[in-house]
Amino acid sequence: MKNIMHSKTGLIVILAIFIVFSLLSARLFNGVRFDLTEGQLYTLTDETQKILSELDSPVTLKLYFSEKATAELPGLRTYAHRIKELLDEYATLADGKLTVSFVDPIPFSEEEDEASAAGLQGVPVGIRGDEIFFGLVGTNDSDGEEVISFFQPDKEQFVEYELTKLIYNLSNPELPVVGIISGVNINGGFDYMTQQRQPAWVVMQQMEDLFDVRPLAEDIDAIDAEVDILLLVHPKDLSEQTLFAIDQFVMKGGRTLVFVDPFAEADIPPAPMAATASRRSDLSPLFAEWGIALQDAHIVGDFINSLVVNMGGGRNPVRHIGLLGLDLGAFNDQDVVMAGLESINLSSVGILDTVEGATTQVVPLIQSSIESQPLEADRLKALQNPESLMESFTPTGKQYTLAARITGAANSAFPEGVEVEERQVVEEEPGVPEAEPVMVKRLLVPDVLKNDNINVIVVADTDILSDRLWVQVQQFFGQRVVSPWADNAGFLINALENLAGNEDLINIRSRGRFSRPFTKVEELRRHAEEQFLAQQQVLQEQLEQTEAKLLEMEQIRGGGDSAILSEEQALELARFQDEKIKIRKELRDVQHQLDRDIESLGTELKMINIFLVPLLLTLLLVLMRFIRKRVA
Amino acid sequence: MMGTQIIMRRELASYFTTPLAYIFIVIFLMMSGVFTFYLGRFFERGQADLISFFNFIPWLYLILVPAIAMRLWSEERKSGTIELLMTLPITVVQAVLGKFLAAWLFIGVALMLTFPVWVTVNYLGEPDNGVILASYLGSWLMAGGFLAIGSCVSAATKSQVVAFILTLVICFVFVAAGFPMVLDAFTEWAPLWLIDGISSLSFLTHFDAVSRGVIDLRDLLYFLIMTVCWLTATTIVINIKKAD
Repeated sequence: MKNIMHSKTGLIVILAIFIVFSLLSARLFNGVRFDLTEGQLYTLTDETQKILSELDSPVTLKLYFSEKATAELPGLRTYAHRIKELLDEYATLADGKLTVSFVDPIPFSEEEDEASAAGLQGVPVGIRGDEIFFGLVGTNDSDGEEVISFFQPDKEQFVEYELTKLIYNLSNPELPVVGIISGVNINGGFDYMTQQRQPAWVVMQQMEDLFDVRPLAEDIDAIDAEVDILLLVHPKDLSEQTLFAIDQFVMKGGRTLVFVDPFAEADIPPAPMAATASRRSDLSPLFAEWGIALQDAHIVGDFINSLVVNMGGGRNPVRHIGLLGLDLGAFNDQDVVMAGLESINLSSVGILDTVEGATTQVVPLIQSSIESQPLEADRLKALQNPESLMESFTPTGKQYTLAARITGAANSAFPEGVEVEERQVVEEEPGVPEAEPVMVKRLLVPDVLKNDNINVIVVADTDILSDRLWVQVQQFFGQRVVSPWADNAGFLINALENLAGNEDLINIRSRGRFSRPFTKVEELRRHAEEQFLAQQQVLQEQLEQTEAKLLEMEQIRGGGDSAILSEEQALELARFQDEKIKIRKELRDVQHQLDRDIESLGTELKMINIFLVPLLLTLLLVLMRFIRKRVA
Repeated sequence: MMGTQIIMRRELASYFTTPLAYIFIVIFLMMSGVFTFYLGRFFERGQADLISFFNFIPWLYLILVPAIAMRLWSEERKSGTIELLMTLPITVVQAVLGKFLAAWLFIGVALMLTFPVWVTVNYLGEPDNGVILASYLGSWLMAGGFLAIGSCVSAATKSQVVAFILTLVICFVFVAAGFPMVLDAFTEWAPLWLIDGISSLSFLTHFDAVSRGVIDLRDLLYFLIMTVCWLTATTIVINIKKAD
């Protein structure tokens, strides 16, 4: 030992130890980690563990990763390594039900063909443009197949959700059944205005990937027993018979998701009635029993969450307080349905009130900001300029509930049953009174009068589902390419998955939070806009007054007996013209000021971060020198 | 252990008697601020994280750490005070460790003085402070690795300038080892395990892993092995030179 520590051999030995240890440590000590992230992003959740321990049928996973071709991409290799470790961890937790294997699809090999055939995405890299594969194919014993076409490193936070979902779907091949009753053309339809067939809404397509979606007929006695979740979209003027069927579905413990709307933009009435027809949907008899009510003829106006819309035709974009872009601040972050969602856009949203003395629990899922006020829904019918909604807008300081989850005990809305009038002659039934030749009355008797725990989610907007609020659809060589810009569909899918009883899966989704915007900057921007608006109004009024006075004077000059103005009047005219120019300049200045606060904040922070501590240190140094001199 | 502590205190105190330490810290702070805000476009990105700050830390270290490490031993050797040091009742290991710890703590102080950027990001938004903590820890561990290299080089030469440049070059190699353009040179002929090995020797690979917010035992071990091996090498070098 003494010798080694004193000779050059020692240096060589150290070098060898260093290399061997660094290489070894990368292979040994797998999976010992301290996860310091806020959401424990890199630790397998209890939900995943639960799903894995409850796997019914065996699942096989094959990870395709191009080892050789990615030699120059250490970042991607590290990520692939992590995925491998993660999959090993999955396999350990699944107790033999999960088989994991790793494949290197070398170019022109059978494995490469296999990967392409399974739908994995080959990405060309490097000078030679070799395609690399980094995807996963999962299979179950009943020929089901699920694929992750490429693991994108920037989506690392969601990788656990993606993997667990894939495994869950493979072990539970049967899709939950969603029954839909819709008052709008969610499934496409014929547009009389353009004389063209409209495609189905994108949300339908998204739902069909994950659920067995079945449109239900109206006027039915009961909802099909196979339906797991009932989805009501804009239920307008439903017959008592249908309401009864829905009531009984809920009373029997059926999960229900309702979208109602005080003013559904998508519900376009035939042209002659456009200005007058009601576009409101409600489920009031049922809502009353469930402990909520949709506020009559009101939509919510919300300044903080409002969106700016482009008016086209060279006009400036304007703020529309009936059109809401809601983000984390508006969402109930305690509820799994809102988990992982970042922004949802709504239009002309209704307000849900709780009914006094209700036996249910109503938990808000989405709420407006404190700068909101209920507005007359009728004002939207002939709305030319969205800015006019701002007139007489005075926030009430109250937050309004826009979507809510309802649980707890509720009674049937039809304890006495419902009388149905029908055209056909039906067979004799108890309780049917004397029938007319064609019209027959029939009494539907409820099976269940009370449920101790109903499961309903109500949303006071139907436009949330329409394409224009969340997704851009483009035709690309006959294919529909959709690119979402808000999480509206995510909300719908979350809610359906949650109601389908798949809560474990949703909890995993909640962990990812990739966007953390500067809230302070956003606040500043809003404040500036608020100020700008008030100032602009004042200036605009001044300008109008000045212009009116100018006009008045012009008229005096034109129409008066003496065509020439007196000196005093001429001076006055010049003064008004000057003022007009001045006000217009001020207006422009105010507009420039909008961004000034944010810019100056940025500059201030730059200066503080670069100079503050060095400056303090310098002061300290000078002070210490000074003290030392005094002492010395 | 006492010997280590005494050396450490003496060294640490010596940092603050000359304006040199002050100049290093000020340059480090100002450069990190400029890099974060101008090159990293921290404010314009609008995201409440410190990625634009930590991305530049390894490159800042390339200048700062060799500058601090160069005077660890070269100066003592040049002025002959090393003889004096060796007559004290402390072992070489204690001296090496003491000097290293003092410099490491000093860099820790410099790192802590970047706190305004942490305050800033918390003022602007809601960052994941766990990730930031892990990144700071990773930065400090990485500084330890850089410093151990510098300590060894400094022990081998009498010239501070040579020590500075040599340390910078070696550290640069260790930072760059994970870079595609470096690995390119190997892909044609080297086996895969060697390429993986080279990239796993890089500071960047391990620092990036830690700054995601997960402290992996392997990353900790890497920095630990790095530091321990280079410090042992320092001891050997001093022993050999002493014998000369």
